[in-house]
Amino acid sequence: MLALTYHGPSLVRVEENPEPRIEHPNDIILRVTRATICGSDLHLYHGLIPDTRVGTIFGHEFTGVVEELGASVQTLKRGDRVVVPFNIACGTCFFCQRGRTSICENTNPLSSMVGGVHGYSHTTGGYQGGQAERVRVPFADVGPMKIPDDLSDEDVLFLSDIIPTGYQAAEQGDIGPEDTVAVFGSGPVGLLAQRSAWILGARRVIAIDSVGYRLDFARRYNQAETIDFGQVPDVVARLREMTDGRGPDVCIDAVGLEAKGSMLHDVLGKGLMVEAGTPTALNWAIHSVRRGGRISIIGVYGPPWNLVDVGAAMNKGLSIKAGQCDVKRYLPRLLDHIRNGRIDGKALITHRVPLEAAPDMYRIFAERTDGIIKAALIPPGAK
Amino acid sequence: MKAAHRREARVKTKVRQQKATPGAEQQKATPGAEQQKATPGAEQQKAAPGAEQQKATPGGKPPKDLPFWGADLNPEARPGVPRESAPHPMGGAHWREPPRQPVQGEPQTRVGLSRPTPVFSTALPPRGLSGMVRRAAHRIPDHRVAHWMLLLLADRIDAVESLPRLSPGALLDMLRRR
Repeated sequence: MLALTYHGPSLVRVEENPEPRIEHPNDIILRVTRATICGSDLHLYHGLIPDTRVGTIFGHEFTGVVEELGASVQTLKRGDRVVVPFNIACGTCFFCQRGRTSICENTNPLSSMVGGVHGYSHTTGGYQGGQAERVRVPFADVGPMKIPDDLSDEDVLFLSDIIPTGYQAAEQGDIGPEDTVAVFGSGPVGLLAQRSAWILGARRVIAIDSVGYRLDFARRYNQAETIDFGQVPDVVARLREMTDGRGPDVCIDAVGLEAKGSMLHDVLGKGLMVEAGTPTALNWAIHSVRRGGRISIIGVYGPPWNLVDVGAAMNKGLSIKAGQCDVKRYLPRLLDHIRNGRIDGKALITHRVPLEAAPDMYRIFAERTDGIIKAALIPPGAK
Repeated sequence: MKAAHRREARVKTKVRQQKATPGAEQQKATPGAEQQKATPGAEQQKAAPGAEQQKATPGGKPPKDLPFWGADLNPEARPGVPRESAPHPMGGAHWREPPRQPVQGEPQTRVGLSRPTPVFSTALPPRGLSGMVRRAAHRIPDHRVAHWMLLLLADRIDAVESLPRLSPGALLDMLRRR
């Protein structure tokens, strides 16, 4: 089968790969109908996530049709259309039982920090991903959600990751109706965190980025106020000016380890790799949020460490919540938001291309050119 | 047939042809879907860039006229609150302890696990020099920096080791698209 395959930093290729097979009685094999490239896939693409092996098939956001079922699968049948959470979760371990499917302890034998994820290196279990014609999905009775007949695959495609991830980012901020929320990053997750902040009842939403077309999109899609940090001398000072000198009540880091804006961190994190990428957005969040404010970290950071201004966080009395999204628990409520038009993930798709064009999409996405927000990959044979 | 399809689809040009603007996408959606979905596109059309500056001014009130504003204002409507729920099985799990995937070949586990987790990947077992470095890394707990540094080293060795397995054409193609 064809799949987008990793060969080294910034080297990916669509090529023939072995067919996936049922390896556990609760596995299914899915024929992929849509896959997308996530901002966090760029961290893999750039070689920043440890244990990303040559031959890894990327892709943790996808929909598909059930083609084969393991012997113990009860909730799905051949031909069902499903959307698949990026987390692989057993449903009954200590963490899954409490709703924390992102840190399932039964799906990742290689790391003590995080559960299994489709297509995201051996640090998250080494499962092959969905930027392919077919993919193995473990614990099929737990994760996948059948797509309702009245919705298309693209309507719900982003329930696999970025819609729940953006929502959890806002939810981690404990947002109330008096709150000003600053969202660092206006990529797909940032845009959905901004929308979710409104859904949770924020008073103001401010989007921060340096890519003009993304800030345009934030204004158009979310009616957010915007700051282009490339155009202001000091983004922290600008945020304080906009908020009576105190700073926003909530700051959301929707950027993660490839943030721009600090030459020091660019050298240390991207050039010399003596820290795990650049914590610039997180440090800006810590410094700009008001004293006693709340920080939500949803941008991806990798091991082993970063130069984070923890002293400022401690002395300002901040509350920090972080984590990969526990996708499964969010699906019913967010499906309701999609049905009622409160969230339109499909509007973020700016490029629809055959799977074979995925390497070009990675380059365009990494360079932030061609107005790209989100690319949908269409495998051969998919409508 | 597949091969023909693949040749046809080697396609920088198709990227352009199939590129869709968000606005165009909304127009293409099926009428039935649109009726049921209360058109977020309409929200976008309502809001010209800059309008938000008036809606959300410092010291102003929440923009309750936004159709999506405050739908989950009540914390009880928020699916992730409380963050750790009362214990219950998630999804359609019908086991107390999940059945175990048969182990074939060399199991890959971290320090402290006597056997792999109930499911695991069998893709891409360690191989070559990079594989030796990976095995060494996985004998070190992942709270130690050496674990991660060895894995990053193994990744770079792996990339170099795999070059001879590529045809010159494939390598040139990747470099061109880089």
